[in-house]
Amino acid sequence: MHIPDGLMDPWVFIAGWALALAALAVALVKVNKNVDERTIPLMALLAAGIFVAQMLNFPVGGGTSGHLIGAALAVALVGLWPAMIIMTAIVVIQGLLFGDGGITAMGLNLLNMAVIAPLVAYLIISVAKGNKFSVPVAAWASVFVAALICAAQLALSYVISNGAYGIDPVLAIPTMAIWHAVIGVGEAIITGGVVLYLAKVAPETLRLSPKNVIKATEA
Amino acid sequence: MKHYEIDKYAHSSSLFQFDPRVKLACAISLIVVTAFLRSMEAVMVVLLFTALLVLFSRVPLGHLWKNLALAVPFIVVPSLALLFTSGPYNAAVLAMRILASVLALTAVISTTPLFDLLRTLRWFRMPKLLSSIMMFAYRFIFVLIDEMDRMKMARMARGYTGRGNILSRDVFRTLSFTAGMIFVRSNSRATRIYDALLARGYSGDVHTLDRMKVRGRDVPSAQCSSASER
Repeated sequence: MHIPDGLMDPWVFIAGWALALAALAVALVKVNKNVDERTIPLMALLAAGIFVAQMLNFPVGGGTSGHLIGAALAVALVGLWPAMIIMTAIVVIQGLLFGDGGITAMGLNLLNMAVIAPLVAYLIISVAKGNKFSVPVAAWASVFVAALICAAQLALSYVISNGAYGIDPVLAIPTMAIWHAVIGVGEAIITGGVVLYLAKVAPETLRLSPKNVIKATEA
Repeated sequence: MKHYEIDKYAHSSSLFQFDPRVKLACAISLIVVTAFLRSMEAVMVVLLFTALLVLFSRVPLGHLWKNLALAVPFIVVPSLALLFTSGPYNAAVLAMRILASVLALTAVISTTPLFDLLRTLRWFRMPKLLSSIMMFAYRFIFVLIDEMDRMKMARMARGYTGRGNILSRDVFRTLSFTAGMIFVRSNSRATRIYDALLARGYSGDVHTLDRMKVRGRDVPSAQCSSASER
């Protein structure tokens, strides 16, 4: 889902940057209000952990594989606003240090993976509070919705540029939807598994965040 | 470990000598302009310029190829899709546009050490919270990759192959335990690293001895890339 430079119509990526920056500004203000000296290394640790967990490939079948995005995991561990900041750090590091995802497209990548995916996960987790399937379902939905929106961006680019950018909606939307409905299952199993595992093995890790980070989420 | 290569060529390249702010600003403006181009001729000029830039940067081709290989699916899939829906001209322009952008980005990021990059981003007013998280995260990533490699070896020694599909219970149990263990281990490591930082006087900001300076030789590089944008 990492969109490269040169694929999207300029209007689409400009809109992506604007929306992503607006959402992240809110997240920064919310987190900054409650930041203390230990918050930064802890959030960085989660960012690094999710970054590395993204390198774990899981088999999908037929020789293909997928990997974690981790937005739902971040939300389950630290809550919505810190999760947005963590995912932002990951997307920026991937773009600027590993060449994974472009510069002009970074706004869209941030919007999909650092704003929409955590938001969807957060909504589902908070609506289905206490249900033991809330985390896996949130993980699946975060991947599926983010992918659909990514497909919509590709389709929009194609339509408004008369075929100079993006991918035809007829191709983009069904392929992205079907593929990520499957990938999402992997995300759901692993995210649910990690949360269960942490609860069993190291319950203190589930409270990784200092109290104030959690407070920032509730605010 | 392959990921240690990231900063490896940063110091030996001739592009390293340029001020990171100028370098990044030029690359970004080049990439932004490229994203607007729709004519074959213009994209070809940019592609030629970025290819020369890469040659001039003396980033080894093997390293470059690895970065490009990552981008290949992102070039091939959309241009194939465009080939069938919108015609060969648009598809070729799209492929060249993405390739040129990837080359420009690769030339710059593989010749800029991480700390220069972060200071540049700070100079461009990136919030401190975000740049500090990025700096720490970057340090932790390699520690965690090491941990993960050790766990991978242990998994393999116990007969795990990673084959299966989305319904394989054992594969997914192993993978989620691995991911969970990454967080457990990294938590205790991060605490120790942070204590060590505090003991060395860390107070939330990193201080360095050398200052960033725009020098005479930065001007031609700026002109060069802006000329190619026209």
